[in-house]
Amino acid sequence: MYSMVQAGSMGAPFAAVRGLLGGDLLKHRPDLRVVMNPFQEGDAVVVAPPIRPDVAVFHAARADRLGNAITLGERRDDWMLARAARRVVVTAEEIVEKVLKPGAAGTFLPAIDVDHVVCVPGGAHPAGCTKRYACDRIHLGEYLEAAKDEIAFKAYLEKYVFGPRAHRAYLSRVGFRPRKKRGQDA
Amino acid sequence: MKPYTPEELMAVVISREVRNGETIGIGAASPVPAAGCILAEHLHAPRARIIILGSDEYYPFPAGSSELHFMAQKGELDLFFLSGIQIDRAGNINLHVLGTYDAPSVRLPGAYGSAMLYHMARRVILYRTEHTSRTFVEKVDFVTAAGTVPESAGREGGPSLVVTPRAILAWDRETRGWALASVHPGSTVIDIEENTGFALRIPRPVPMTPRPTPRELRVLRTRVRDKLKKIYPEFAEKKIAPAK
Repeated sequence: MYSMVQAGSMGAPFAAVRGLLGGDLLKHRPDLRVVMNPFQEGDAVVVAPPIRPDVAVFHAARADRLGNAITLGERRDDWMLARAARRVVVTAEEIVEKVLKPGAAGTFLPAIDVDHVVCVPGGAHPAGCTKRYACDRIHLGEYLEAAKDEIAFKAYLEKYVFGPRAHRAYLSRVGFRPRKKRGQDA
Repeated sequence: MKPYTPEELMAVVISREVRNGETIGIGAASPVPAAGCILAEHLHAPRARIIILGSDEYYPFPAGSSELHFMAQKGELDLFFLSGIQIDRAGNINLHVLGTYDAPSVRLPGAYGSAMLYHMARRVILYRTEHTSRTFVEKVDFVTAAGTVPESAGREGGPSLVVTPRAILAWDRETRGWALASVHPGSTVIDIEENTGFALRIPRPVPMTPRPTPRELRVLRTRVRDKLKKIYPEFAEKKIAPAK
């Protein structure tokens, strides 16, 4: 999977991967094929088509108006995913006027990889976002409980996903309270 | 105003080919197209996305040259610039050797990404600072990047134009040949025919390349020159005249 997204990010026609031979995955995934390595005799390898997602969405601590964004943590795979995707949307806790440069805390996603920037404070909930707010464990507990049962899960979706008309309504329903500490985070 | 240098003329000619909003790649050791693209950005193409290898200001990725390479391989580059020690009748370019591959008289640095870029960029403008019959040959000694590809390649690729100090030649995909697109001031059709090692299709009447305007030269010699100094200091100092 990683190799398939990587091939997509590079514009490569396909990815060649080690392993998988003899496993059942090959029986269920027609997109994974076995070919002979043209450079080494008797060496069967699995090849897979590139993956280019239609859209990739990243949540950022901050973004500027050009699309430069400081995303969460040190996830350099963000670059690969952004370059594999045909369209990239960044949601951000905060849009800043000054142009962001690499070097600040977190992973830097440069504007050339980004198509749209949307200001969505609290957009990572129920996960956390740097030091602005922590992961909402109480809400995750509620989710896990609801996910055990079909009817309870439908009720959960209605209450939190389909019911609220916009993100703000969702945040007020979950009782979201940002703990913003200026100057400490990215 | 000082008369223009051949490099200034070529930069101006290239700038006129750049379209607003295009994503443009400029590879290593390419000061003439770099000057042309920055000039276009300051004149008619403010939204051109210019990516110059080796520049801080014009390199939008955090690091490395793989980003530009892979961007081109995904088919996301609108315009790229290439050159060659030889360019031939069939649109092939040579960046490898003069003479035979095994015993060359001159060995050059090679292709880097040229053979992929020639195929994958939406448009490729070739440029050559020397327009002679040793450069424009019937057949290149080595095909680094092919002007036309087998049908199984699924994509055409190849050149769109070549810009020289004498003229602009245009590639005709229908006939797979070069035509004289316009003659620069100070040059003549006879000049060009004598210095090109293959027959060109000559339109009648032959268009003249419009002379660089005072505005084009002024912007090239001020704002573009200043920016170019950070990327190609020697070229900017020697080939682009100071404003006064």
